[in-house]
Amino acid sequence: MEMKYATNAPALEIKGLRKEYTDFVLEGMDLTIERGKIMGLVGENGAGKTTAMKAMLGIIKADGGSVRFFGKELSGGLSGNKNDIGVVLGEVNFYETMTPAQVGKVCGGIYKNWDEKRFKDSLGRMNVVMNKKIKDFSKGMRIKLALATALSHQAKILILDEPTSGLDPVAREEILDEFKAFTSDGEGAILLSSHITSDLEKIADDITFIHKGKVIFTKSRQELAGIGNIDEIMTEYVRGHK
Amino acid sequence: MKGLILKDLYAMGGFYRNTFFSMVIVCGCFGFSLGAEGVAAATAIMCATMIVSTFALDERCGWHGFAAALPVDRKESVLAKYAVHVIYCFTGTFLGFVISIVVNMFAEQKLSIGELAVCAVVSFGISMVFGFIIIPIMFRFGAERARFIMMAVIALPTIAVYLLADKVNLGGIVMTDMGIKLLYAAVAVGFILIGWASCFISIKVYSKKEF
Repeated sequence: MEMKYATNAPALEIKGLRKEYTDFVLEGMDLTIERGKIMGLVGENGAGKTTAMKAMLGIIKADGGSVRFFGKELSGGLSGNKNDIGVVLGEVNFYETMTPAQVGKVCGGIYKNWDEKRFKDSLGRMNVVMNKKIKDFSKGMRIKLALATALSHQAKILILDEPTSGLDPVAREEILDEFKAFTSDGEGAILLSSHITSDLEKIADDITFIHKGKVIFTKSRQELAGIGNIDEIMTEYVRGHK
Repeated sequence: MKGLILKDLYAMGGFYRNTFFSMVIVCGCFGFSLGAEGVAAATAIMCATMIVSTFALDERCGWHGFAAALPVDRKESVLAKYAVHVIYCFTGTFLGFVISIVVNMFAEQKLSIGELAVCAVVSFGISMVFGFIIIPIMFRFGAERARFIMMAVIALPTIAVYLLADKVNLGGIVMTDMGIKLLYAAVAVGFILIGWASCFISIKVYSKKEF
């Protein structure tokens, strides 16, 4: 059964998301991504980007707050809205003895809307060989496989944790083009964490800066461009709040 | 569930050959000392241990965190592991049965096909129980720590059963037909209960896990 969404709801709406560890607290995170937009999530190592992403995806249990994808709370199972979320958590999470062809078959048995043709086309476009084992892939190829997986089940939103780290500039450009194409219909949205702020300056519509588990600001790319580059703004803030 | 089962079967692709060679070595070196029934049991149990390796591979590639973001319930992830274990146990039992027939041909005291079939059924049961015990431990402690706990968990009941059987033999207890039927029924009920308890515990443990 197709998941029905409110037509005007944002792609992602997070209110007061909280997760507490003994040595770290994600404090009441608020974040909204409208449809057709790319949100960049920046912050130094340990700022809470990955924790926030894991909490919004239900990988870790949040201690408070709400997360809504297109107006609906997260739900698993075959008919749940996790079918509409494409995820990349740093690297490909399939064991390295597998081939992309096998990954395709596995995903076909997991995602309701798996599109094998699109998967093969994406891999072909990114020059990833179907029948080679993952262990023989470079870091870039592995990331491309993870992205092709996230892009091939008719996801409406992508949650991507450091998807471009370790990639050469050419591969990064190719992947950024894929992201732009994903949101070009005005429906798809992306939350993208990255340390490579130049990538975000190219494609993100909005940037959220997180520091020590707190959202410091969310600003549009144009607003930030008037202040300075993201790296400088972040560095200045972190130094001033040590 | 189909995708989760395929994932384990594919991921273990590189390990099947090693397991097969280990089987050949065990059967070749110890086939005649173990006897046909010993070979059947050893083969089934070796295949059953492959479920442990699937957990190790999952941990190595960060599968569990990724799986939590997929459109599958955690209960489904757990049940898929049990399904994979059934596949391995069934395959091991079948191979063990075939090998035991071959070993039996060269044995001095030959067993009938019926007796070999009983050995295969018992081997299947033992290898399944191995999984029933080890799978919740794997979910709780992870593959590496669970390997050590597994030794103790498997060794203790084995020693207990061995000592009990010894006492029964020494005591000269003779089982009547009715007694044997009751014993079979008790074993079947026990098997189902252990299986159910194992699934229940695994689901509880895995549902609370964070990755």
